[in-house]
Amino acid sequence: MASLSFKNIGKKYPNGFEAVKDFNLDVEDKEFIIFVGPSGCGKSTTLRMIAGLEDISSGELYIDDKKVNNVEPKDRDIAMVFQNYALYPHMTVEQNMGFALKLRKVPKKEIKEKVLEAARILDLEKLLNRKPKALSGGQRQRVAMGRAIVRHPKVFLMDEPLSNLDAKLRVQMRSEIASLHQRLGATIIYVTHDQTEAMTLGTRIVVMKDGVIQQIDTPQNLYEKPENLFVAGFIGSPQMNFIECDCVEEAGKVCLKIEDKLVKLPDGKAEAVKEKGYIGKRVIMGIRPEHILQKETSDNDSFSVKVEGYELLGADALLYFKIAGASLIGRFDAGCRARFGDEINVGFNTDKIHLFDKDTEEVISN
Amino acid sequence: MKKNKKEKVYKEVESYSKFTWKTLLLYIVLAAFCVIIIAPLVIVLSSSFRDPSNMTSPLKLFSQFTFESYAQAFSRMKYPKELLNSIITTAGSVAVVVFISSMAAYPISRVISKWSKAFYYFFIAGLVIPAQMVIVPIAQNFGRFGIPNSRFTPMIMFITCSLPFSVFLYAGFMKSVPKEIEEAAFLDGAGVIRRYFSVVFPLLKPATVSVIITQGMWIWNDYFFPMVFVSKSDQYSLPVGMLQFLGDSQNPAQWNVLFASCVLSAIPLIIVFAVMQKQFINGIAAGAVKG
Repeated sequence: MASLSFKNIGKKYPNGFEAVKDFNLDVEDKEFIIFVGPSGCGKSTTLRMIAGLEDISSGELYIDDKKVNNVEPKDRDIAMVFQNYALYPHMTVEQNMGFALKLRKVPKKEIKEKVLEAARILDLEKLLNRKPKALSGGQRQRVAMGRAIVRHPKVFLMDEPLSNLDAKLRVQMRSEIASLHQRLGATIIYVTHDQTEAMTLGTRIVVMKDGVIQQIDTPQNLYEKPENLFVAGFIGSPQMNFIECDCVEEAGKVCLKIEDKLVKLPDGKAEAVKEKGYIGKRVIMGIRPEHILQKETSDNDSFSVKVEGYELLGADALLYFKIAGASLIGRFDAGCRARFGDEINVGFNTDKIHLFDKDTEEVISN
Repeated sequence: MKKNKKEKVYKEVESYSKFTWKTLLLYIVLAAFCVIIIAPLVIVLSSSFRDPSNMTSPLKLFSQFTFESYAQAFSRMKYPKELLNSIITTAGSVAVVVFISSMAAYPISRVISKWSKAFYYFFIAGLVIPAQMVIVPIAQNFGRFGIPNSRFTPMIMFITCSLPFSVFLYAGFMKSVPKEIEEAAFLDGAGVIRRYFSVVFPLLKPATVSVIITQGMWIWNDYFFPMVFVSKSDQYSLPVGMLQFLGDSQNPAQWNVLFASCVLSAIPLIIVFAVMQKQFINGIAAGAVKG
């Protein structure tokens, strides 16, 4: 397995479009790195640059301290799992998995052994003589994985490998990929736009937007300490709620003024707001749906709202309502009795409030 | 809204199942069309089973049943030799056409540049120029280059004339081969040649079958190029061999023998179609639907 180092990597197409800008990242050996972001953010382009399928316009890419900018894909010792699996339709599962080894002139006996070993890991032993068209989506996906692991490459690249599977199979394959990572001790770079995959699989996540890295962090930190408004909104489902409000100081206490209510900030956040000079300024408050609380009575820092939507998810329920013109989603216990059109009182868990600069969209306090 | 949609579907189904004057007229036209297509074939078959000297109206179908015309056609046209010549010419030409046109279509459809487009249009231009129009200068140039008249000479014309359509077909079909499959092979360590032969070409099987059918048929049946470029009678292909039965100013046409030779010429193609029917139909339907 291997480490990777990206130094100021950029990708610019002949028409002038910059798909990736100044990408810097160090991937340690055996790490499971996730590139996540909306469509067109440059995550797949970055992956393809690692694979050698796209030229690197600027910067340097190192695999195990060896610069690979101009190294042929086959000599980079990497394997890639594609979104549509890209299996060879005219070859059997066994031939698909052994093709790379055959090209490397590995003896037939050794190829067979390696293919069998990979097939055992992925539970494909009974399917070795089948062609891809005779396999289900999940089986095809496993063959694609098998094709990658028989080679024992330095780095595994996966480009949205689960996006063609149905929801149930996706959950199953997700855990299989996670256990495969543990078992092989492999360095994996995984591209997805599904944040659940990103949060559950990655040791670190790289959030990208418009070709620029927004934040690189562990799943927990990304969720709890987003560095900007984009990351805060992108990570989490339903997404974080945002309300524009004013930072004010009332009787020595730092508060957020939302409509005519004052939401008192806890000491740590109040200090950050004061220190950074945001008193009297307009900021964006972020609060996750599970940190909105239903209150029995109306008080100074709670809001009386009308329920505009209700979704029962099983274990919990989502309520849709508006505060200060902003649409909010609250996650409550499934036993919550509020329904469409009901008036309820809600408040915020102030310890979990995130504050962002309205202009730069950078975090003020998490 | 849903109800309206359902009603519309029912109406469409009903309009097909109801027997109206309109459908009756349609059936009559279709039946007449079938008769027009099938009638000459029936006449050919019926006449081929007559004695060579039987000159009664060919419309008296199956009035006689003898293989005499077949026996004469078989011996006089040197059937085995001409069959072999036809097989060599057709198989050789089609093999070269498949090889060259698929390889030409590969960069045309994969490399995005003005040159690939230019080459594509260059090949397509060949579709609009009839070979018969340029046959005289071509024949003269063959003479100048010292290319002798032999059974292989028409192959040059067959290959040249087949390339435009075949490249057009392959280039269109190649776009349906996912690029990722090639990229996977690239990462697996396959160079461009290996990628083409081990991964891309096998996936072009439906297009290849279509090329074999369409080009193979016209090359097999073509009479014009072998007549122009083959001078020795032992190198004739089947269509040229049949020519002798058409007669001339001194000898009358021997229609029954000619029809028998037509059947004999068609039999190899019919056998090939019967054996490879499934593959051919798949090939013809290739690209008709996404899948």
